[in-house]
Amino acid sequence: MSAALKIAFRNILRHKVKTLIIGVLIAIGITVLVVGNSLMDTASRGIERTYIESYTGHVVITGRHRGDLSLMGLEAAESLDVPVPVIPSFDEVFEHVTSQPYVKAVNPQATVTALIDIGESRFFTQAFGIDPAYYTRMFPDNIEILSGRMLAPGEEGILVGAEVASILERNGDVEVAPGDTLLLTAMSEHAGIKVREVPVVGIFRFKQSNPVLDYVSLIDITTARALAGMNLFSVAPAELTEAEAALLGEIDESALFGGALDDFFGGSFVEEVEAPGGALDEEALLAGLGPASPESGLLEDAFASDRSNAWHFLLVRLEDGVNPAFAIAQFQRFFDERGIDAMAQGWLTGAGSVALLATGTKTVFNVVVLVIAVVAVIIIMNTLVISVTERATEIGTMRALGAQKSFIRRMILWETVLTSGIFGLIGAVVGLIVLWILGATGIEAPNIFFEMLFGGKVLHPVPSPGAIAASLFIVIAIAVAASLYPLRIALKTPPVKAMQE
Amino acid sequence: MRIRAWDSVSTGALRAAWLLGKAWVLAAAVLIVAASGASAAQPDLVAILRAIDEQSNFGDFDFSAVLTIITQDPEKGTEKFVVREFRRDRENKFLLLIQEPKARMGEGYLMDEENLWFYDPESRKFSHTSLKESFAGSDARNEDFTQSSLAKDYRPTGYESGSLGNFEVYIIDLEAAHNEVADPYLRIWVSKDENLILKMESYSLTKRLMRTALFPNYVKIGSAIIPRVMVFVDELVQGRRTQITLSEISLNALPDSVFTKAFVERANR
Repeated sequence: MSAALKIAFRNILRHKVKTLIIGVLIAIGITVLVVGNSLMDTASRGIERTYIESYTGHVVITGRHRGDLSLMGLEAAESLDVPVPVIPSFDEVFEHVTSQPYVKAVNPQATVTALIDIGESRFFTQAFGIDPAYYTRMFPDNIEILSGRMLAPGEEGILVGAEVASILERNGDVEVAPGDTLLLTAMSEHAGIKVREVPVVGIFRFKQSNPVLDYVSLIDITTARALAGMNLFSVAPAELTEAEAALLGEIDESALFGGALDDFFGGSFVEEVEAPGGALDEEALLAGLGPASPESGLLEDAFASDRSNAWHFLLVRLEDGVNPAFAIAQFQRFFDERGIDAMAQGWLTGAGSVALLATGTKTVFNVVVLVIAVVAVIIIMNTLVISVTERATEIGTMRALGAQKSFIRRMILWETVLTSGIFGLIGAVVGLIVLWILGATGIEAPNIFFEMLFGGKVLHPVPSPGAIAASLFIVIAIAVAASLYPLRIALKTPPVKAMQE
Repeated sequence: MRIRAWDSVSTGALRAAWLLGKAWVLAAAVLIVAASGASAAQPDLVAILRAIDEQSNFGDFDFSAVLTIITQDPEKGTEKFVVREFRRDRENKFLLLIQEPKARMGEGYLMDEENLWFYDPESRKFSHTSLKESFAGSDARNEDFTQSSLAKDYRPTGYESGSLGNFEVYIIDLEAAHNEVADPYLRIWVSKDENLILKMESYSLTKRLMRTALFPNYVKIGSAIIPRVMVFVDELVQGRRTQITLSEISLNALPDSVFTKAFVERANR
């Protein structure tokens, strides 16, 4: 053992009170770090595993879009104005993705928000439009069917989320059960109002759910396409008359109220039209409306949506050990090379706000830790400054007896490392005990916010070796950083002056 | 949360219905101002508002028209809707049938006293909601679907004389008399000779200009004068505005059957 280490150890024992003050601070800090980071890691891992295995897969392929697009749809404020994009050249994308050796399973999916009506009861659901064959292959064990059964391939129907069914039953004097018929209404700016009647095939719940997924139902893709208006994305440009076009462009109020429009409307600012004169005939009214017959193309459009292969998402599950970043890059390169306007993104994008909330909270926690670290540095530094100043005579004497600056530096650094190391370990052990207790009892989420954060109703934290190692490193680094200033003071003091003091 | 998102969905999807209702209300609001003396030095502003309200009411007449709604949006471009509107205010009924664009043709909004029914011509199914339920928490305003009540809802706070194009106008500032109206402050440009509202600015509580409405053409039918062309300029989103043109306006009596689901279905056969 070097002399510096010996003296450092002796100094720690000699200044028990000061050592204890610094040590307790360090121990508390590391306990907070270990527990906090382990909690966050457990929650993050839980959310990631849950989402990848149950909802998103590793890679989410979508049509090109701006803003955040999760499985729930566009998450921006203007999401009403903008339809969820379908994946262009879907067959080509599908064939390419499924032919890759690192792809384990795929699940094409669509999403639409719909009102559910049954009797006098009404609630909404986020409907995932699926092909049951792909869905069950990709997510073989993510749902529990409480009554009824899973959709059959090609069958039209809905699997209602248990929470949605429960709310519908609470809202009105109704019972939602397999065999019932529900009226689904979806509204959007681009497609208008779409209403579909579908039979209830079953009631289900996700085995791992959260307050957002609780509102999800599964419907057949044909109904989903019709509700989402997925056949109506290419709208012909508006054809305007001369009078209508006259109002486009910059508005000139002087011209508008100077007779600019009068020529279009009977030559005057106020035109007199025929006053009431009898009743209108229903047949005449109907004749004036013009039929929306199949010939008009409307119903053809509807059938086109049934036949189409439009999907919002292609979810991809990778083989074990495949790096999702690699697969994403490969897929994106393929899309770019073929000029396909599609995007490949990670599970987090598909998971949307819930998962982002968890990662965002972790960032906030890390910022809080940073603030605590700064405060800790100041306190530890202050205590060390006092400690070193009090020992100026001793240090001066050591210097006078021939101790080099490097010796003093080593001695104080050893003191710091020993103190922070020993108390850091104590703090880590306390943290582990706390985690063990919390892991055994579980932390119940007090509200929806924490449920989303925990990825479920109860969180059983698991100690994170990475978090413990990182916490110890951080605390020792903080302590060493904190010792630099007092060290500088000690070394700047001339030995003679130090001895005189 | 998706619940909030659904509110938005309702809001957006109802925008078409709202827009049409709004068009009607503004049509009703912007009527001839008969009570005020055009050449009076000190116009009776309250009397002007009262006259607007009185003449906004078509009484026992039914109303029908074709509304052409053109929306310009800096991002979405120009969109055109043609909608057939039937109204019977005395029974609180209306029917809106979309004629254009083709993709939306036949879609209907039937208001039957308490229920607003949506009709999907593809599935031939109706979906309903009560007005109270639908419009609470959305951007749409209940008063958008009711008669004008300027005299009751607003009090004049000042006026000045000015001109707008060929017209000499009173520019009247209005302040909401209670907090149940959508616009806390209004400024209206009323022509002195024919007593028509030519322009209306809507202000927020903080006196921020939210929307400008222009009425550059009118139609006189029976004893009422209503704007035939309306331009609504969104002052919050630059380049975004909506113009509504009324045609085939009629106050002829409509058959009772018009305000029924059966009529909506027949219209789509």
